[in-house]
Amino acid sequence: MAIQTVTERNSLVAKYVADCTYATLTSTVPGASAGTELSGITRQASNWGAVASSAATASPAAFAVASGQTVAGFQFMSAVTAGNYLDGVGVTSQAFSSAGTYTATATYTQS
Amino acid sequence: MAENEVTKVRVTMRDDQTGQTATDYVDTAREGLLEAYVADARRRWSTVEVGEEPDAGPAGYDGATFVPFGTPHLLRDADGNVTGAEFHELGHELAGTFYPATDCVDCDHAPSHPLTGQRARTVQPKGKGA
Repeated sequence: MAIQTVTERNSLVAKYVADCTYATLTSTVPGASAGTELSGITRQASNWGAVASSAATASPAAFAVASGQTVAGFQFMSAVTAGNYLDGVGVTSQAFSSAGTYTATATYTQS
Repeated sequence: MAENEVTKVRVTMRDDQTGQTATDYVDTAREGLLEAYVADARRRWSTVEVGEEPDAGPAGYDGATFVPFGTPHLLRDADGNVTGAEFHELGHELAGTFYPATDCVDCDHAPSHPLTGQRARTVQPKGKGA
């Protein structure tokens, strides 16, 4: 059954936002299981915007990527180190020739 | 070229649909590499811009340089769900070559091919042209 009210949808979005506190990049595409986190990468705070209209957008700071690494996925974690994998998605992939940066935003929409 | 001359340029890539961006630094001293890199990037990114000024990036002149084997390209359905992936080889004679950072003694950071696991060929920094 679809949720009928924006109030309840926003409540569920707020729960997702509260859980998904950190973001990171992976070399494989995450799904039901976590992707392979890039070696040496620093997780960034998810930096969620306001919950509104059944959705919220995470805009973490740019990730520093080392020479030779390939970005293929973006995933949310529960902590800045270790923690639990919570959700993830494939992104526009890129193999890095030199040390560079990768920026991604993610919008969660509750239907 | 002059000693310690920076021969890399910044390459900025953007996916207009998702807002994702990537910024990399590619060596122009290796013939055909920038052209092959940009052609590969344009298969996945909406816009690819090449800087006009030399720029070694955050790792500086002495940072590592890798000539990628290529890059996986995700296949999606109309709803944006990932349905598979293709691997696009870079199409350059140096693809799969790793030039370690100057200060990385006995460097063991050479990446592996994402599909085959083949380790990149490591070439020590002499003349890496970063």
